[in-house]
Amino acid sequence: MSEYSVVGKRIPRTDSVPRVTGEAKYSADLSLPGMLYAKVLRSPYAHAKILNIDTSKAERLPGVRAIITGKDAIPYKWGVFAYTRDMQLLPSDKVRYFGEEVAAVAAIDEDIAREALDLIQVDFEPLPWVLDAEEALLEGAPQIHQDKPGNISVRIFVDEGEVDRALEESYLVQEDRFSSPEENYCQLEPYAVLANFDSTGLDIWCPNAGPHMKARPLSNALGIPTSEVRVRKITIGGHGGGRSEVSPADFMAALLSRKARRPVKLVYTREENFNCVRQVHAATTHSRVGVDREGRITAVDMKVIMDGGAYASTGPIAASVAYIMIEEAYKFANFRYEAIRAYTNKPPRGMYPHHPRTAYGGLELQLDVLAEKLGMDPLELRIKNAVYEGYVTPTKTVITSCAEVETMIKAAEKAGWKEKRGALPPGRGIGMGVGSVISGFPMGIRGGSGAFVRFNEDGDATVISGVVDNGQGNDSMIAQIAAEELGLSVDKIKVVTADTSMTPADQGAYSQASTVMSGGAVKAAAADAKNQLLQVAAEMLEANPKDLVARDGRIYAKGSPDRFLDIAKVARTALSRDHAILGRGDRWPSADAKREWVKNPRGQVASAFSFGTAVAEVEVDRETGRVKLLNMVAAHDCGYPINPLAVEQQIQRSALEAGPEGTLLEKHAWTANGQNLNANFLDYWFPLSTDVPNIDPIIVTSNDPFGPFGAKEGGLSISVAMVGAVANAVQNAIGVTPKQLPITPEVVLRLLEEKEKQSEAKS
Amino acid sequence: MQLPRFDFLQPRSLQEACSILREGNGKVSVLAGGTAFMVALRSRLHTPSAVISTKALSELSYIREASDGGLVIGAMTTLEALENSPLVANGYAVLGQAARFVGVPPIRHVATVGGNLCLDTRCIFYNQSEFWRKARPDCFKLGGDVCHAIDKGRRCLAVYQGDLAPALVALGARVRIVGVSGEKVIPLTQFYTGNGEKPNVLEPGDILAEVQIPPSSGNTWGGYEKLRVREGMDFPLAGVAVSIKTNANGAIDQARLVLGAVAPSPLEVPEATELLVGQKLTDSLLESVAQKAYDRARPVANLAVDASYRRKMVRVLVKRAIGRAVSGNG
Repeated sequence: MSEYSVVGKRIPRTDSVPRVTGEAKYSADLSLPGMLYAKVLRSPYAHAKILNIDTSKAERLPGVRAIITGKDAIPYKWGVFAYTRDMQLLPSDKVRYFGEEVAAVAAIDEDIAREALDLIQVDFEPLPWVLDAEEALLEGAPQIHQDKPGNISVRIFVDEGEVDRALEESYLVQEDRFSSPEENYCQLEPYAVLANFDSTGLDIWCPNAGPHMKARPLSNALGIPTSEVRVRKITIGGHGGGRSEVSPADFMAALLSRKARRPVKLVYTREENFNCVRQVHAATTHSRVGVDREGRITAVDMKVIMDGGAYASTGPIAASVAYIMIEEAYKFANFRYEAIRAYTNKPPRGMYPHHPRTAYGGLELQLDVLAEKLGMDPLELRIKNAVYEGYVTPTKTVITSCAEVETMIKAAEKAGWKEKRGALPPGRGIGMGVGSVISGFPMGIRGGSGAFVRFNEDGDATVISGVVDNGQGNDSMIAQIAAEELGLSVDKIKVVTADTSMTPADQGAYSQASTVMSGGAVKAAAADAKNQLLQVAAEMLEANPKDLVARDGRIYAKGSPDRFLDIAKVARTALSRDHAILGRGDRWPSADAKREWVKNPRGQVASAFSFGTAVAEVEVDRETGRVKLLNMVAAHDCGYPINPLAVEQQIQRSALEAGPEGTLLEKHAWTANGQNLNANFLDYWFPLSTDVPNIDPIIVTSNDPFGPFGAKEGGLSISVAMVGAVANAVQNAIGVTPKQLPITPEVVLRLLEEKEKQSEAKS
Repeated sequence: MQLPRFDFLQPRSLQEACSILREGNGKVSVLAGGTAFMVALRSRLHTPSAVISTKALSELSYIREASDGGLVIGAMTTLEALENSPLVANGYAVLGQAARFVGVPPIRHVATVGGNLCLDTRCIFYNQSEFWRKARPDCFKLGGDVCHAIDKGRRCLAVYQGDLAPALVALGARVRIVGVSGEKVIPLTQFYTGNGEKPNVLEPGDILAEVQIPPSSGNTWGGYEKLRVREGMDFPLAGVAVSIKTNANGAIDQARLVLGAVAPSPLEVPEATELLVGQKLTDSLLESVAQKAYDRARPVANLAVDASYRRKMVRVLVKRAIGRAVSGNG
């Protein structure tokens, strides 16, 4: 008999079948009686003052029911942190990027709403603009926010140990500058909102990764109590970090509904979903890495400039993530990291699994260069520098469970590393990358998760949790956890999640927190409910509750499984004795609450750490520069896999996001006046199924002391590791370091031409 | 994005369709497979008063041998039918190859030969949303007098990005155009104007009805190569079609080399014919031919990929297309 009867089993995610049959309803599918349709008027300038908006003509258009501008809003600015409040959800003073919201119309149909936009007269005073982060930081650059001199949105600075001395004393030092443009989330579902504001408050449906994270800013922006904002979960077509924050669309739909006294639906176009939700930071990274003769990393000195776009969004986290990942992936004592996130007149950049690819991806490329110079196998170098349980990082985080080395060995084995590295035919290459991510870090008042478990008349249990399922399998995950704890099969568990009017607070399905935080809270609530149940059962069996176990639908005394009670019978008995079984539990990060991204980047950063190693194999067409991905292998230390099927899917998704998407294909391009040139799926190269090779996911286990049943998170380390793996595979194939991501055919061809010129010059 | 409002008409005959088009005088558009046209409609690149569907004109869907031993292909034939046709594969391989390079299978399932040949020219400053375009002055193609792709550009150089046309030009194809007052057959090379604003010669009332390909002899070989970033979906960033006929000695009797997606129309490279005819293929000859193609190709910075890269790739693709043709893979 295995230790567990429900967790650790492969079960299909609860949302799979409804999505395939079409039963699942997305925000844009919803409809309410009397519903109006909204359209948004957007800025045709990258930077301009709004002098005046005349809506009178548009108001007279038959069918128009409400028009809003910044004047209809209270002067509230949204920011993820108290010190980053810089975004009016509908600006009143000026616009800061091409496509920013200026006004919105609700009408009886979409055509009328669209026609009304043309009748709104806006007087803009165009201002000088800046589109490049490094230019934005220069003296005399256009000021984007009055109270942010020098266009510095966030500056992160960490300086631990003696970096300069360590680099001087290093046997080898590798120094490079890496750059990458913006990526897009490319959620297949364009953003959509349905808002209904009536006398009881606001009811709102929108794609979200955490309803509580939306309810609070909406209540602030609308000037109503949080209890009057009801945000709930809805089927979502992609998140990737871009559905974490409140969106101007949420606010505009709500405000229009309040003004029109009718439900209002706002569905973004594909172009709006590219530009007006969030994007992924562009960045440059200047990196110096030292090693000793044995290949041990002595010091890392990194300076990162990130293009934050027009607003702060999750800037302090985004600017910190790279160094946290790096110091948790490799052991070294001396670390200097400076990141400046600059404001520019481009769409705001938000949360992403990994920021920025130039930092950790660049470091991975440098490690391979150093290994080559040392005559070492890159695998050996990585094993030598791996972290371990109990390791303390330069910024004083203690690594808890850790199977990093095992991920390296297993990924290398599966990929045939030893046989292939150095032995592939010309044009082919194999590369490796390593990644680490954190789970459950403090996020202030919304940093924890709570849950209830109640028993129903038929003996089934209902779990009530604030967590959202965005397709990663959270609903299945909490059902499995509750079932295991309660001794029920998973089909006896009903799940009610993510509704701000009834579910307890939850940090949201980002920062890889759902399993350790929400899952942990559900486990605690289930344990509480079980204990209540065992009390009742103990009376029925005339036994000590401490001697009882609940398993496979039965309660019995340890050692005597034959003398049992059905859990359903116990639950019904409890109800008939006026004892409704109602368990409660919560979970709070075990991190150092005093640690702060900007002011105090020291102390325990998170509750759990996961690790991954990726290996990629490529073939480079030396005449066209095209890189063909041949194979991707990814081994991830997830702690304990609650649902191995979902973990494998998450690993594959991460490999896809980092490999073909992030490293080879995806980037935005801009015109000189700040217009996005490729806000569509034809010119923005989102990989097709034919661009994606086989992906082998490998689950590596470790027993985490914080996560439920030893679990951590489902596969995000691979979205870091695969960048290094693919970039290193290209480096291995062409013998030149690609310093620009994504590594498009043009980039590869230029590198090959430069290499040829250099070798000609030498000979 | 919502479609603009228009009347939707379904004429029963080709003549009826032509009459409607004539009366519409440029305000009526033809919908074939719709894979490109619908995108243009949503972007308001066209705001026709009416759209006519050619669905009912099923008589235009065929691939058959002509009386002269050549091939005739109806305009409503899908690209899927083209790529699967044994008639095409047997002697006109360059066309089948080009068809397989278009879009992705679901697109080829509905996209038509006529629609592909009548593709509008494209430019990254033109194929944008109405909101995007309105933020800057109208370019030549939108009726204005500036070019956003080329500083001080004096005419529209939007790119013709069809895959089939270069292959059909290489095969010496003609097209049959039906109008209100009769029909005419012209060489496909004359179908294209070289003008980015108005890429083909169709006038209101005209419908491209059929493609006619001259007979192919047993020792004709063809090859098509396409520059794209992804393994599917992308329009060509450069395309090369070649058709070569060899004689019993293995020397080249006839050769046509045509470039796609580097100009407002398919671009023939007559210098290649001059170099190739009467010769046997050697590596140095291949280099010379590729160089001539490179010299002729002058792509400008109006697509998502750098123009100088596209031009360099013409040289590579020419060698590969000819290599593919003579190796018999074509």
